[in-house]
Amino acid sequence: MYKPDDKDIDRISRDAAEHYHAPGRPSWDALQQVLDKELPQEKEKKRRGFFFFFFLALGLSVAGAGVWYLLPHAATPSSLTRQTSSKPLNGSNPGTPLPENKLPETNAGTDKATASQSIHDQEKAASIKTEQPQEAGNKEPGNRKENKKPNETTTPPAANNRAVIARNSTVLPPANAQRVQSLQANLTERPNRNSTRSNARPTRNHPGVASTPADADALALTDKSSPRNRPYTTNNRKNTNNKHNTVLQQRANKEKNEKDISVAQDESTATATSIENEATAGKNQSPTAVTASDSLAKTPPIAINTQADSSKPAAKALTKAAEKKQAPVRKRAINIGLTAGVDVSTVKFTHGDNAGYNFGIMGGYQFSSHWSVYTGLVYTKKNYTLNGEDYHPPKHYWTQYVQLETVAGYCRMWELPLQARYTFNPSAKTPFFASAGLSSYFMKKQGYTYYYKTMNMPYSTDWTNDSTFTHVFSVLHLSAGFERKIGDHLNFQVEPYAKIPLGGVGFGNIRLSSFGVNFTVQYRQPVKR
Amino acid sequence: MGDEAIHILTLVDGCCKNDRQSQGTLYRWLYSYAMKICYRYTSQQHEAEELTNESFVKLFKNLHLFDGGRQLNTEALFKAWFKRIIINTCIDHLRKNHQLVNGHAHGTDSEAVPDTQETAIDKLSYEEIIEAIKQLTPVYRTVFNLFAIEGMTHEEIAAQLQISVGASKSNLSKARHNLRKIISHQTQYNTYVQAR
Repeated sequence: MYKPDDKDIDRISRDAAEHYHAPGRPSWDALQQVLDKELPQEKEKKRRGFFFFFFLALGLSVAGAGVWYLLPHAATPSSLTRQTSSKPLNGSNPGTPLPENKLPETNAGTDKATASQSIHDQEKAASIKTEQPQEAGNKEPGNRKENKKPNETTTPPAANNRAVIARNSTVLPPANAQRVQSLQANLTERPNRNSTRSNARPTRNHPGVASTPADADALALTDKSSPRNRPYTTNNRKNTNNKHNTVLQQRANKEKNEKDISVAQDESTATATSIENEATAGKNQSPTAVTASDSLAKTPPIAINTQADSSKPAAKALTKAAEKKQAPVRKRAINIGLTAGVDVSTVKFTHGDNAGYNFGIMGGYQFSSHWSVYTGLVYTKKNYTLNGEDYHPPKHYWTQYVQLETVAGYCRMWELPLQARYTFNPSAKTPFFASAGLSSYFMKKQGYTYYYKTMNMPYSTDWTNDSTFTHVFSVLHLSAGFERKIGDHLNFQVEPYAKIPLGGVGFGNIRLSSFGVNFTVQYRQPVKR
Repeated sequence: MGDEAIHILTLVDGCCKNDRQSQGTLYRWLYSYAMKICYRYTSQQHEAEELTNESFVKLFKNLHLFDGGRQLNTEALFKAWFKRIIINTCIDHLRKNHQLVNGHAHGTDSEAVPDTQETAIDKLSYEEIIEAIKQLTPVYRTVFNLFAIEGMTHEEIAAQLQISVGASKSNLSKARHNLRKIISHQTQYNTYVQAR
């Protein structure tokens, strides 16, 4: 009888395995259903979309931060606005950026009277005569543009005074040399802002002086730059019995003989308050001051509209409003917040992987309006895949030679960031900020799947490690973002970040880069009243 | 590089992009190949079909790891790579179901086969031989498949199944012994049927 030996058994088995026909037929539909769960096509699109929006947000944040950083240095209107907003709120602050007010109705009659008295300069009078009827009839803010046209001095907000000054000095007809001289003289007389204000008040309060052609010009042309001043004007004109008026009238009598000078005084007051540096410099009649006064000889005076300082209720109300408006950013404050976000980690950008997450608590101390420091404790999970050559386990870890292809891993850890933050525009509605600092990692758990080849056949092995790995200041943490106020003391922050490795982390000593965006709800220590 | 290789690489590229059409084409092309392997490692047909589909899912997930661009015989390389995935899937499945017990043979059913080894083994069809292999216990069947058909060494089998080399040799010996008995029984039956 035939008795097959081992070789025969193996041979016929190999032949059979090669040539036999397995039962069953392919069912692609069934597999497709499985694939739709395991490898959904929409998921890829979503992931691409996420990356697109993430990098878009990161780019926009960086670009926005750059713009905010560059703007103040270019002496743009915003910088001037900041300068003027720091002035005292005594009503003679034409440069303060305030919302545009409507033209007071009481101005109409006064302006008409003003127009009738404008005789000191024929050229000016002619222009005023064409303007005043319009002014009297058009009390709506929308019509003011038309009033500005004849002189081509479309006065922008006070913040733009510098530009306007330059433009006016070239466009407007030659100003009265006498006015310019008197202006310069007045500027020389007023060494500082306070004296300017004291001089300006009587002039403004005096009916005869207040209703000069220059006043009319001012009403017509400067309401945008000092809109808040208009209620003052109204009040002042109504309260002619004000105790200031006695003093003012005396001064006005003196100044009646020197109308041009008084007009120039008003004008220079406006300039001095709106461009404080130039006004101060006017003491020495520096070129800057001359330019300012020269332009003011043509630019309608802003300060004239603010003549109602004497009206106390209005002044108080305005002061309060201005204080509210100028509610200063607290210079020293403690912040605390809850943060959460998504994290995308990579090693040398060679592989994509699922996003991880962050959540934790952050605290900060703001020691100036721009600068603050932050730290906190954040729990994070990172997923990553790396090439075999980027994985560096301790020596003698491999007991045999393996051709490591890729390593897919994850790690859970605590992160302790220490950051310095610079806020570009702390008083803005949406402040932008940039942070830089170092982070420490306290790795709690990590898991790896090794994909390797042995004898040119692929294998995979899973491995986890619960050992704690500590990496102090091993990551450079850069971020930029913005915040919005969502409550009295609550802010919501969006902060894209990048974490650049300064050394290897984890069991494999890998250089792990992370990118993501954190969303933080922050409680800011209230300001003591 | 031949047209066939280019075709395979095109399919692989499409599958890497999660293109269903490429995946479907690849599936239909390699289904019988995969099924033939899974069928040898399992005792039930539906089990083999499930493992086949599972192997394809793993293939599509890890296809980006395949690097066949620099090889001459892309098809052979690709099939060998896929075969490795299939075998790993089968072994994982058996391990998950506790059908692989380290180094121990549970083959009472096959040992109960009468020892009649005097028939012509070559008379058996391929399907009958495969059916005989499928009758072995999971651990014997796996070791026999890996050694006799896949051509792995005992060391590799030991590493793969996480058993000792001695256990692998012992299991192979017992697998052959039982298989011989099964085949003999089968041929005896065939001879009896043909004689009638």
